[in-house]
Amino acid sequence: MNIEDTVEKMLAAAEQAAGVHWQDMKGYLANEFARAKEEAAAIALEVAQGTKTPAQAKIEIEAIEASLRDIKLALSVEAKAAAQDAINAALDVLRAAINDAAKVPIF
Amino acid sequence: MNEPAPGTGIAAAHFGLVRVSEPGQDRRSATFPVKAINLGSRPIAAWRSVLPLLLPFILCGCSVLFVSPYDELTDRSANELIARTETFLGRYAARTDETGKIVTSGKPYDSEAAAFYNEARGAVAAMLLRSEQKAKNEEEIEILKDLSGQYDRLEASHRLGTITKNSAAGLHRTLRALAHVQLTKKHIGTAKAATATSH
Repeated sequence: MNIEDTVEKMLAAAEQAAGVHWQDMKGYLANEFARAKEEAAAIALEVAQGTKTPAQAKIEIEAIEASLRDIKLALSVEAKAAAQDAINAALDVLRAAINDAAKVPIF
Repeated sequence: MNEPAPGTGIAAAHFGLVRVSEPGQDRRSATFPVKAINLGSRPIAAWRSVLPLLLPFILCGCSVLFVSPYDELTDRSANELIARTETFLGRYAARTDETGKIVTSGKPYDSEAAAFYNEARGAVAAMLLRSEQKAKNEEEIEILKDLSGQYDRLEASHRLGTITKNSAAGLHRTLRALAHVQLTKKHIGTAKAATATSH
């Protein structure tokens, strides 16, 4: 069993697996931050126009603040999923390499 | 370390990976910036040091689990709640133009609206009950608790006066966070599945 080659393959498999989640994370975060900024500005305009009261705006801005915490929680799940996929993909490669080297299916 | 182009490089060469086109996004051909996970300039050395830690998993033939598995019922319940919320907002929320002025009036708080808020909180409580039964599910539980609070806030604002689409901005973001968690769980192992099917 070629250790260097196996580790290279494990790393590549881990990269591939984590990459799926990495792409999701980048787009999600950028989109939500941009939207939160626009929404807060829109609420301020609605107060200025008398569409809603300052008391309503206070509640709604609090809701936006609370929702940003949920973005953090969702990203935490995504990061854990990326790590899980990366490690499991690497484990699969390693098991396959051991099976190949042993010439019998051990795992 | 040089990053291979998507769909090429070591992974593609060894596993026969192919680009899989999906609308708007090519998920499986994405590469992960290795430097971002601090493997440094000697990733192979880093993995070598990690190998002994992985040994128990290798020997037992099992996988690591950091996130609770995907639950179809929770996903479906979340989607149903999103649909019901949108229907409610379509009826009750006023529409405003870019200056914040009302262009289409909404409906004031009434008994029907009160019933919706109660039902929505009930649906969240049911999802929470199910989520709390699963291990490695802390984030989803927290999001569901926040979601109930978001319906409280929207109701409180509605009691004070007209609500608009922007009144539900926080609620929408929390719902999206819940939906994102469901999608993440659904996509766990996607790259692995793509690798297996391309053999």
